Amino acid sequence: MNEQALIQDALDGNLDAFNILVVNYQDMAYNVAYRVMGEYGAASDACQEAFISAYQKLHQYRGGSFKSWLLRIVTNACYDELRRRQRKPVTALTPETDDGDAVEDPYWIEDDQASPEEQTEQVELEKAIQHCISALEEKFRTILVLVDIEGMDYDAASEIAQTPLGTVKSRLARARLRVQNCLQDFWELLPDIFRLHDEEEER
Amino acid sequence: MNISQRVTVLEQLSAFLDGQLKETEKQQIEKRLAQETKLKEIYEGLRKTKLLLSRLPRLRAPRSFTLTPEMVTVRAPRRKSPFYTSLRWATSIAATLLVVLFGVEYILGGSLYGRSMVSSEQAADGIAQQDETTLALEAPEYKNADPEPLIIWGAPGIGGGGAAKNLEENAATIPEETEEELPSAEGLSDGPTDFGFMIERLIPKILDGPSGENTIRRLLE
Repeated sequence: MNEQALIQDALDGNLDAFNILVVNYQDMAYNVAYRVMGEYGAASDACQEAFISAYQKLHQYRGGSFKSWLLRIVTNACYDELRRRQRKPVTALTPETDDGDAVEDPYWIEDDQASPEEQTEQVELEKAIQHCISALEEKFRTILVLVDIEGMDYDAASEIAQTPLGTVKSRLARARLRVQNCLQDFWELLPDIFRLHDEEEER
Repeated sequence: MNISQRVTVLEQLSAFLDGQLKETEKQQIEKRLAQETKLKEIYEGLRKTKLLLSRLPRLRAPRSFTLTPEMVTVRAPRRKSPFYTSLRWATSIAATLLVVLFGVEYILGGSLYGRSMVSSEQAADGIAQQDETTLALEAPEYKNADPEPLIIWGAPGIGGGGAAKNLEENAATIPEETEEELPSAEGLSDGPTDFGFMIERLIPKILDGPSGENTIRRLLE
């Protein structure tokens, strides 16, 4: 069943049809939400709210890319959730270190292909990058996540962020430079980053 | 190179990295990258950053976000009553006017207040004068009346110790229909002093008159 037919069925009140769309897009939505918010619980809450909102606003969908339309709702839900959490800070149920980092991340435990050392390196790298992404202002962060992490083109990012194309271009350049400068602090702590790059460049 | 130029170059390098430049711009950047080492370093930094970000693992949803009918029950928006809306508008307007008033008052340095006080006094005088005029107009029979009181306290023969001359003069100011009912001055002067009797006779006449209310007010004054 194609996407447009599922959307039409959902508009007719078929919740199962909409849930097929949810299953198709929930990983992407969660990935974007987590990269924008930097918290697993918050990303999960934002995603759930976004899908509920998408179903209730489905009549406002005017064609075009459903993925872009949905991601716009997801990013807006992320902003709402971030503001809500700023007003009412919550305590994470996941065990945390003194620095506020999760002691164990279930996602990394699942990856049984990597050795413990590699897992540790990956965790450190992931944390460093996420730290630098989270340090960006929301408007820069969203564009960076959409283009560099989700691999979208400028037009799609412009549509999702509801920002002119020129602004997308400008924000993306600045966001990349800021992340690059931020990662300088982790250069010595994470030498594997260079090794990975060197390997990449050699190919 | 100033900040603006550096920002422009940075944006061009970033767009070049994503293949978003026009052909002419692309050729210009390629030429500069071949010649300028510094520009090449910046470009390499951007390229490595993009590579790092693209290598981030894609997270899977920790649970299913599929919806249940309970989740999508339409939350009916709370309708505000028209009274609440109008009250809110009225409050807003009142608050705005108050702020404007205080602002004007502050700007004029209190001169407005002084002026308004003077105006109030003038208005009060005007009202008092108007009242007097109205009273006079409403009681034409008293227009030319002697300002002295109607009842003479102390007149000889009627109690109160007044002079007989005054009594005669005042008797002229009393309306004729009332005068007819009143005992003569002579009778009064000769008869026993009975002030209560006179009041009993006089008051109903006054009250029954066309301008009884005004007469009472004059008496009270």
